[in-house]
Amino acid sequence: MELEYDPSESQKHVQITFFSNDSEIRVPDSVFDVPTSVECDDLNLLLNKTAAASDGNKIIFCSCKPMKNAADQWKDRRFEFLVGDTFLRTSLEEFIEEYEVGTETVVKVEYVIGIEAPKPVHDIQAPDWVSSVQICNGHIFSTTYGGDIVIVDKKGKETKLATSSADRLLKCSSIVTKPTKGATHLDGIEFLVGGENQLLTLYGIEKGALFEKVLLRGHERAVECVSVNSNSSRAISGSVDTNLKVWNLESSDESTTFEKDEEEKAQKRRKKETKTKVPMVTIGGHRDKVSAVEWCPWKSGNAFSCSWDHTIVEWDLELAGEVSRIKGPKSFTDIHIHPVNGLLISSCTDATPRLYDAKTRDGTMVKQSFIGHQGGWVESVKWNPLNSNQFVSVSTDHTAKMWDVRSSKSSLFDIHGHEDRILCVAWNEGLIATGSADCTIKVFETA
Amino acid sequence: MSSTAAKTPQKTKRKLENGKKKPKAPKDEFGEKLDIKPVITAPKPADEYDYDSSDEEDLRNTIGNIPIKWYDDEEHIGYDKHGEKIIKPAKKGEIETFLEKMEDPDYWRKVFDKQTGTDIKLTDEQIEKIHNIASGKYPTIGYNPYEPFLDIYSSQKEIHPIDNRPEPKARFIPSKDEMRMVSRMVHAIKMGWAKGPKEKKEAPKVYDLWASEDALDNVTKTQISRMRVHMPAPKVALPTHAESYNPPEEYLFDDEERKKWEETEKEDRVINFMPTKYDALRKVPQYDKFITERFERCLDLYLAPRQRKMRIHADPTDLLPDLPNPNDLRPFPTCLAFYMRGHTGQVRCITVEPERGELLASGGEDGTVRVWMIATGRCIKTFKMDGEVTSVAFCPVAERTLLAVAYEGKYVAILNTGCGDRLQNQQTEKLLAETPTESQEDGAVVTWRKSKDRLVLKMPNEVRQVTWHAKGDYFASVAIDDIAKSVYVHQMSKAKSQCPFQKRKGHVQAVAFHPTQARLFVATKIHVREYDLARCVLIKKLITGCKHISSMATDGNGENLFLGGLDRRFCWMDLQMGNKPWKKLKHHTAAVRSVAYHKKYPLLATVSDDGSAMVYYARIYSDYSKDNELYPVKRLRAHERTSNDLCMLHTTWHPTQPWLITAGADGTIALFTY
Repeated sequence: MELEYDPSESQKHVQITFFSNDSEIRVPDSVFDVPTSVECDDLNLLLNKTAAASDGNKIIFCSCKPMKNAADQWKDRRFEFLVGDTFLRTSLEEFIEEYEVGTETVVKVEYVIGIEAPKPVHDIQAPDWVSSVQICNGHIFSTTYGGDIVIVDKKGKETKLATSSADRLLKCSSIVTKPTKGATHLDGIEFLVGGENQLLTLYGIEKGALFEKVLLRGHERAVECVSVNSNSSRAISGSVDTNLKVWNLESSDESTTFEKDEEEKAQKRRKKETKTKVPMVTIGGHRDKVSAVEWCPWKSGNAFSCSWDHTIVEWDLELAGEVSRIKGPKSFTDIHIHPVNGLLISSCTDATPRLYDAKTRDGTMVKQSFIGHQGGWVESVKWNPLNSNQFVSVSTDHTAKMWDVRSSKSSLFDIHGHEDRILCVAWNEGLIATGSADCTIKVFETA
Repeated sequence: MSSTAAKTPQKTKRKLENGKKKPKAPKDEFGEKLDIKPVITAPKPADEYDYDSSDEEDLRNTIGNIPIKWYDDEEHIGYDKHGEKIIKPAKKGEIETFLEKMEDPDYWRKVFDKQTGTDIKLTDEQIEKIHNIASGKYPTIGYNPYEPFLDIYSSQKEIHPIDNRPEPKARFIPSKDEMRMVSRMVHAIKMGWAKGPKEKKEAPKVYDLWASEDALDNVTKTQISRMRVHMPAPKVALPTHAESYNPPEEYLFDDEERKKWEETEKEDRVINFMPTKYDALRKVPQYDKFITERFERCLDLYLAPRQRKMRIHADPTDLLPDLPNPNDLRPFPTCLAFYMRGHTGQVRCITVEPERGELLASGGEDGTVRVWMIATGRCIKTFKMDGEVTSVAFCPVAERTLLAVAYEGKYVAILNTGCGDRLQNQQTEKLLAETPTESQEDGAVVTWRKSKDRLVLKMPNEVRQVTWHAKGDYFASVAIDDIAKSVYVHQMSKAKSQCPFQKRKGHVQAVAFHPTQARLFVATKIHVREYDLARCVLIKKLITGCKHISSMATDGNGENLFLGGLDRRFCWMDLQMGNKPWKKLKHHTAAVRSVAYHKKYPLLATVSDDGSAMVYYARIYSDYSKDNELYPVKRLRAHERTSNDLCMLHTTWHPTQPWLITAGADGTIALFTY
């Protein structure tokens, strides 16, 4: 099983063995003696050859599935290699030096199937700068700085819905209705948008028409961010006026409905009545603009918010008080919490996304910094909801980067294409959508 | 053998034999040669003057004044005038001496003369002289130092004159000659002929070239110091074996070496002579290059100035000022986040919304005022003006969403931005509507009028700058032209304008309100004056040291003033420390266009035409015992230079974040973030 390397090369060799947790791609255990200068491509070649050879020798993989036929030949695949918990990106030698891996024993190298590069699917022209994107039910919802709401289906066709593109500037959006799996219909979807006019508007879609359902009034300055909880009953929003406001979205709720004066009612009777609501709770505590809010995935009454005052705060909304506070190095631009493992990825006004553990209360320690963006800010970060290791970050350097938590020094993939700053990103249902200041939304498909 | 033989002449072995002093020819007291020849004169008959001189001792012995003991071993004791030996007299024995002592009554007055070897008998006179000297008297015999005093003039006053002559008439009769002279002078004065006393003719001053060449008072300081720190000329290397007249064989050139020596350039030769062998020193010829080499050495010594090298044995790092680590001075802006694009042509002025820092307003050459969202760099509103915008300023009171805009065509406009808090927008709109523009007097220089959503002030001159007072009611404007009435102070609530300065005190470049008091700083090209507006008096005049001030900024207390100059200088004026700048810096290579001080962080920035912004850590201590701190921390570059060599035109800090915003001549606004 030795691969032919030139024996005259007098360099260090190290013994490695491959293993995998995925039973489908398991190869027989054997120890390889490889020079330390090997890189991922060499290991890939080695592994593929080993697998093919073992296939040929009818040493069948420890597969739980019955083999379809003997001629089911091994197909060359691209693997990624992990030593310990870290991806191998450079040559083995550099890796050993950097992480001080013991070379006396056999180095155990885990291999996983390399994920495919995200494929560009659509390039959607928006009427203005894109301020936010959401993906739901196979549709891409986005808001623009011109006040438009653009809804595009999976095929890249824009769904024209009658919108009242008033003179306003939309900054954020959130889907209220939780997507049902596999559904592609639009009817019944509700979503919440907020903007510079200090209002949040709840839109509903019925029979292919978009209509304003509820106006949420209460912020004193532009609404920067909004988030709806998992059972679509509450929304929390943050604003430039440093306050967080919690809104009741239940249609049965009347307690927070804003009663207009009789006169006003009389004046506006002609118009179609839209309900106006006031906030349930107002939470102050930040000293600067609130840039992002997130519901706590493991505790329904809690939420996280990040602000330009360099902090991420966990709030108890029932008590309207602060639970814990993470002090960051710079002003935060975005946070996102993975719904499964509770890790919090954040972006600051610099080029480095940072990973925190939101569950530890004294968690001011940065777990990981991801270095790779070239200058500017990281504007937004989003986890892959299907994979607890992957996230995407978009930056003012016109690129988006896909990362794996286990590889902090280099990204998995760089997504180029935008000609201006990327302002927002969404990752859902196997799609990455990025919205940029060049007035386009680009959609990428991930495996 | 020295390798630098070419320069310093080395040969000293063959010197001219003129080192020895020639016997000096006898000279007279005028320095002329005396022609003295030894003359042997024939013995003269006894001359009466032979023994005339008392200076000369017995001249019978001519050996001169030499120790006589030199003749101890000789039979003679000298020579007489004719050159004959003077035979030493036979030495007297003890007995003989004794007998002589006994017999000769004059023995006591005899003295042995070494010169002649004989005894000399002293005369009575001589003996008395010796006595006198021995007893401390005057040696002259019979000299009386106490002669009786002859009193010629008595101290008594005589009543009778010594002579009996009558007093001459001239003593008491006025002189006719003098009268005639006086009358002539009077007449001359009357006629105007008279000339004043003759002016003394000053002798032409002559510079005495040789006056005091050696005197120390005419020597300059450098000469004195040169004398004090004398530096000897470098020594010539000692000769080596090769330079010997009879060098060992190995030093002599063989043919190859000789050829090589001849082929090399004169300057490149290792030794500048060819070793040669002579049998004897006397066969060594005169050194042919002696004069040349001596001359060259003199020339070298004269032309190559020698100077003492002051070597400092110090660690170079010790010489650097003790600067703190920039990482300790964080936060300060470090990287360019993005450009905000939208203006065509120069962006002349930018200003940030005072409290939240969400909005930025910019005025440009294209005649528009744009309102931007700083976080995303999105232009949310554009106001069209009738002329090129020269200055914009947000009202410092956050409740009023007002923007003062100066634009060409001699206008200043007060706009309601209509951005931000809607409630405040409405209030501001009401405030603008309530401004009493109708109540102004006729003939006012500045006319106020309402036009749609804004107030427009028609000014008498083009306006360079507008700036608000911290209370948000007053604002000041500065004219571009160099005129007396260039500064106007406007009051919004009364819709009134007034010109506080009637006299021209220099070309006003910028004004700034004191942040807390009713005071105004007025910067002319080289001075800054602080006026009390309530009492209308000048408080202080500051000498900046700048040649052409371009911009001015105050700190939060109004105790410090930051000035940027077109002469590339930046000055920090501490108003508590007199009227001179506390710090002057020159970090830019082109004119400084704008200065800004952060309201919350100890940060200061200057922007310049050289395309860079300097960020300083500038901490101001309210405690007077502590020195302020000023450290340059970062140089930021952005924007492209335009054809007229302009780059960064204006700068401002974000009110809450350590972010710097700069306006470029290329039509972009850059945001630098931490």
